[in-house]
Amino acid sequence: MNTLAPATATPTHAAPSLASGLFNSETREVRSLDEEQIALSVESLSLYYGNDQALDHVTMSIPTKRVTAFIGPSGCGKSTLLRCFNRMNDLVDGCRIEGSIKLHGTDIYARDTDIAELRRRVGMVFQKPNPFPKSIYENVAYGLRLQGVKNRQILDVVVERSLRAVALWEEVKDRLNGNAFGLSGGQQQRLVIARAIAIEPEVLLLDEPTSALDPISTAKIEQLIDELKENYTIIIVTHNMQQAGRVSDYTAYMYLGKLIEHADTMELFTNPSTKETEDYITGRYG
Amino acid sequence: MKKHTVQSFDDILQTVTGDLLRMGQLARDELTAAILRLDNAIPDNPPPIQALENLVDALNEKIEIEVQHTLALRQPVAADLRALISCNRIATDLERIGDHAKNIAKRADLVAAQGIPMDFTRLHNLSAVVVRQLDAIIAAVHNADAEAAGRIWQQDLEVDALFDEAFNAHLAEICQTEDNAFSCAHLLFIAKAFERIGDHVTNIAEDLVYWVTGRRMNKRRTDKTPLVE
Repeated sequence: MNTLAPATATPTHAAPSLASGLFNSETREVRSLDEEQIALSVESLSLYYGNDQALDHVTMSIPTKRVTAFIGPSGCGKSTLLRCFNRMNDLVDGCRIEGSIKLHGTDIYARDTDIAELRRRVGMVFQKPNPFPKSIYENVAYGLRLQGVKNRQILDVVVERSLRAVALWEEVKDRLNGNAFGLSGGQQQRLVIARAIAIEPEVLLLDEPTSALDPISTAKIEQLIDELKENYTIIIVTHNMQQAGRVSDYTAYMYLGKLIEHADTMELFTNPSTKETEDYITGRYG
Repeated sequence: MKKHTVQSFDDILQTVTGDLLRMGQLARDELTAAILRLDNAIPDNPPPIQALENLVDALNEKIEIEVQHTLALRQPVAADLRALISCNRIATDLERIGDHAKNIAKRADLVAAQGIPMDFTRLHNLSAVVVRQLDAIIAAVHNADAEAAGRIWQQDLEVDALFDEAFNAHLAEICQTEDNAFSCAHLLFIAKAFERIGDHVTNIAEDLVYWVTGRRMNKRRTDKTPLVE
């Protein structure tokens, strides 16, 4: 029998140059940033920690009421970029930035920026749930109290609405005055998100929000992200590429402080346009 | 392409593509054996068609399981995902090609049993092009050659034209000579089986283009002129 020897290598990724007429018009419409309303515009942003450059001329647009995922290996600058959006990097000694970030057209690094107001508009949730050592109720009411809201009825309404939004209300409505630390990790993370949205921000920054959670809590947060994008612009940093694929509309791949590719998530995970992205997402990195 | 950080992932992809190419060659051997039966020209030591068929089926099942496991355990994306999905689909087409070959052989034996000499010229013309197409697509899969796949896909028009010719001729023959009706009916089905193999080759071409380029082909042929090599 004249059989071919088994192939010794996976067929090579030949450069495609077929006549364009041979291709089908895409069956699924690929999202395009050109057709989106833009919440945040980043222009040639570079960031230095002392002499170390962490971001290198990043230019990108974050669409309104969409979920954008930042992926990339450790140290690629994705968390640094995330923290630029509410100026958390201002707290780091020796941090210097060049370029600009505009939130709905307003430069957030302008001299007269009210940073407290910026952080009200751009909320943030971290990897490790960080409830305050207070009751569940007071955690959610915290931001409003800071703004001087004292009316108990208003606070009650906002606390319930926020806890319902994160699907925590049914679980905690009978123990609102209990300590937030009595909640499980997953519940704490949802509480922290409730606290963030109680003050009605425009943008939610999520820095690896599920990396400390079990799969069920993770699924609840992912479901929550799906629901929250109706009203909020969401940016999520995640090391879990499957999670980026599941929850985001757009994905940005970063490497060594540079933005390598920023595209429709489905497109990026099935047919990335750069070799670097392909190597990273398929596990051919390093 | 660079190697995966986890080497066993490369091993799996190599195994699947290796199995697929082996399956292609076995399906090809099965078709060759079936064509020889048409002339009743069974060589001294013919590879038994049923044995080839069993090997093709077993490899198809093996590929299916390998792909399922890899999807479940490794969550492949991008080129890896396209490779696995395409291998699975191509394996299904190769398995169908094997089925058609077996069917051709069975009908050839029935025709031979009639003891009436038949003119197989048109079927041989058709089978020659179908075998050429199958060889070309197996080579294209081996070389991950999307350009070649596009050409092979276009050339199916040639198979269709030869099928029409054989079909019309044998249909006319049924009407003219009642004695040959039984055999001619089988020749019609044999012609149809060759034509279907041609269609499976075009399916493989479409999958290969997707595998290599990430884009789906436009399934309407714009050029009606048959392309000949």
